[in-house]
Amino acid sequence: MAKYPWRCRLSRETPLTSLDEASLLQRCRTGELVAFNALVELHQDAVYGLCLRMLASAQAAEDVTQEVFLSAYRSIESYRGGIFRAWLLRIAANACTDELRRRRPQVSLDDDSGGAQPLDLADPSESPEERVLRGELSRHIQLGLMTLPPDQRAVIILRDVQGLSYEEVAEALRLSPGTVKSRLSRGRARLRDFLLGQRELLPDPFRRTI
Amino acid sequence: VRFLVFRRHPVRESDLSAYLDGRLSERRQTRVETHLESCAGCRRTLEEMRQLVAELRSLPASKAPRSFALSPELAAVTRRAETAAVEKEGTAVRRAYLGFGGAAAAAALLLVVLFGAGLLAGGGGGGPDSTTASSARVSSGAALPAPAVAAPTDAVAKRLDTETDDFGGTAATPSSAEANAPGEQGAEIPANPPAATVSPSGEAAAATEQAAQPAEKRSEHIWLWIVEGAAGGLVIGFGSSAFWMRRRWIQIDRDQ
Repeated sequence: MAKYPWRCRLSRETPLTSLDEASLLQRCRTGELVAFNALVELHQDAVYGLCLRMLASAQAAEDVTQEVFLSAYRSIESYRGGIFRAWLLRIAANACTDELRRRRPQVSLDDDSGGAQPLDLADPSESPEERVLRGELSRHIQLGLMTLPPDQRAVIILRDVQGLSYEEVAEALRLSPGTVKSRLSRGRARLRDFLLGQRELLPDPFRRTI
Repeated sequence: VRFLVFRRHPVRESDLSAYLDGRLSERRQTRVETHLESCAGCRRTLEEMRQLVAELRSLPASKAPRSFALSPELAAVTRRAETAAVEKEGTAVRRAYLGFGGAAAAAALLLVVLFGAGLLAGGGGGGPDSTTASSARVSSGAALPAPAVAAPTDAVAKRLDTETDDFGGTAATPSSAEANAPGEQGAEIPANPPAATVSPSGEAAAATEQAAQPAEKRSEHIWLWIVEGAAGGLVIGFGSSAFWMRRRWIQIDRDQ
């Protein structure tokens, strides 16, 4: 195993050079919409991906993503250095949390809540988000993700699905690296248990693939 | 039992998770590795976790279904909304600053008035009280010539009258009280027993009066202090609020 596997993943994930982003941001400050839209194009997949996997609904993810970029444009002055993508993802994570809260006000967003709640499961299977959540394995993983409390889910999505570094995840979610580590571990354990449980229920061909 | 379990599994799941990501310190990493060699359960857990992470990683990357770039119209609308919001906040902040500032000034004025009232009350009440008390003591001690403190001694003498009435015995006391000015006579002539008994009792009366008055004054003062303290608190609270509003105001002005 490579000593720092996340570095490889990060470089695979992000083709942009930070210099480009810096100059774009500089131009953004002066209110240049073209520069901002270039940044949107750079990061919209990551933002949309986070929203989609957090919310398990293509429609909601699209709405929230647009909302995220609008509010980012509005508050671009409040961005003070740091990883721009993490800043965007922070807005996105907050927007997703708000959306989830709006959706189910009775579900508390604490660490210990949510795992066994069946209402999380009802959502993804019925909503029309086949584009990305296509495929049995993918669908099961998404089901499993939805059983996690949102804060663990966000960490898993950013770290394991999107391949951000611990530091980026920590900055995006305003957590300490230690908290990222523990949430990641708990989320992974929970997700694994869920998938192991699901494996028994799967038809034969999938037993081998999972 | 717990101790044994811990001994058998010195590695927790979070360690395995961090190990998978290469996030352990070297010391801890070698510890996990040596443990993994001997523990099949942890090896299996690690393998499952590794597989899970690989699966998560291999999920189809989600592509944005459309461009989320902002159209100029949308951007203009949000910009306008934002500047409107900032302006609204600006007026609100200005109003809050003026309000808090005015309230702080009013509270400060109140404090000054209260303080002044306290001084006046302390000066007007305390001064004469002490002088009468001392003059009473002096007159009852009867060392000073009586005419100098004629007015107070009248009062004291009256009091002495009642006191001596309570004593009830001697007929000589009224005369000595009536004589008033020659009060010193009584003191000078030890042969007159009533006067000798009167002076200590007069002193006692003055002492009790003295003790009663400060107690009253003190309770009055406590109320004054409480109100003054409250006013002071208001000054500080409103003042600091006004200060922060002013800062925010300056900040907004600079941003615009």
